[in-house]
Amino acid sequence: MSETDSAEQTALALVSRIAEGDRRAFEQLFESYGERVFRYAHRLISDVTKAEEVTNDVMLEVWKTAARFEGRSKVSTWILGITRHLALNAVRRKTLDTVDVDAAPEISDEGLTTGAVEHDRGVLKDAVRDALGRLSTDHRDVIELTFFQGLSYGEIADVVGCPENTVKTRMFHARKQLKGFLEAAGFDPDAVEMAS
Amino acid sequence: MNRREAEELLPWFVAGTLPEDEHQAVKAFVDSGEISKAELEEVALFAETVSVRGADEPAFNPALIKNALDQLDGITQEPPEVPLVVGEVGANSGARGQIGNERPGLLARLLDSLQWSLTPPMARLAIAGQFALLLGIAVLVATTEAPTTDGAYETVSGSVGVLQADLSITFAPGIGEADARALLLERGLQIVAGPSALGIYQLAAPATADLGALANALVEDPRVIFAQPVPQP
Repeated sequence: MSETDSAEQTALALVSRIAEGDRRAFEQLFESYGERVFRYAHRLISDVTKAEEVTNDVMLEVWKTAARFEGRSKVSTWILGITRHLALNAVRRKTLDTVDVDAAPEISDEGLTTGAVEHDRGVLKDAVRDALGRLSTDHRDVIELTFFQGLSYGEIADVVGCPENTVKTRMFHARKQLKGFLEAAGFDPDAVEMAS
Repeated sequence: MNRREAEELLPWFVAGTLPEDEHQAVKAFVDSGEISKAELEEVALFAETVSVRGADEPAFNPALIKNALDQLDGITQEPPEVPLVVGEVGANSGARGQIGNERPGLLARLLDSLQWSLTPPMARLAIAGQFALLLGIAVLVATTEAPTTDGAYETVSGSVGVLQADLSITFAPGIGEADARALLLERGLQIVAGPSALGIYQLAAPATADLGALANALVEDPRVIFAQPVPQP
């Protein structure tokens, strides 16, 4: 059994115990998933206080509905799905400004790299982080779930509640927009050396 | 898989979450150079940036855990949903009902196929209402007893019960309905059954009638060719 499978089995066992009212199991699950939930919520909401509220609400929802979890998806997918739902509700309340997808600049498919070094990697990462913050929620969401939460495109489709092809399309456009934002911020795609 | 498809899957290739067959297919495009090193590194940069916490990102506050634990007592845990059909348990699965080892029950699969989770709440309410109405009608039809007709029947003027056949008669050929009705009214007779294959009617006579005399009188009538009392049990 792989490490991932083992972690999933552990999480399943915890959810089963939570369904029976086991507070210790709840605490263990919170310790395992709390940071992931908080980070995901924060990156969707960009507000620490609200992200903490969402994290709290997500875990209480897990406590409340654990008995209804049928194990048809991974525990992480289930919890992240709840997180996304509650976080987006918080975003709507906050009326977070996001960038209009159609208005976002897009550039060619050529890579960002292959040039002389003009910016160090740290600066570039900061720029990427800024650019991520300017993506629409749907696009940032797919990138976040892929690279931070480590979900497959099928699992993302479950969390987000859309077809797999939509996930792929969102990712495709998110990447193009990121490149566009970086270029607009003065990062010449041909002048950035990506290698560490 | 074409290049466009491989390019779409590149982020999950970098993240290491592709199934083995797709991973190999994308790898072939990378190895052949059809997907450039620059493109791969660009995705790797995004992945690396997202996967680590930025310096300005807040840290998770462990106090949230205690805070949530303090709230648990005020929350009622929901009971498990009872499916119409218990999930099918695989041969190698663990104990029955163990989370994660069951296939979804019939209800869950039906809801899946109806995309119930994507249906707006008001539409769900409307569908559920219609279903409840149909179910109610079905139950009503199934449980409502049919009117009892054994041993009695109803006329507009009221219940007359089952009349006993007192006489058997055959009308003369060519006698129309009006003539037959006139004869019956004259004698106070009612048709109980008939005609049979031979054209014989069963008639009920007034309770005070002398059935023998009545039969003889009917035989004498030109509108009747046969009449005789029905043997009584």
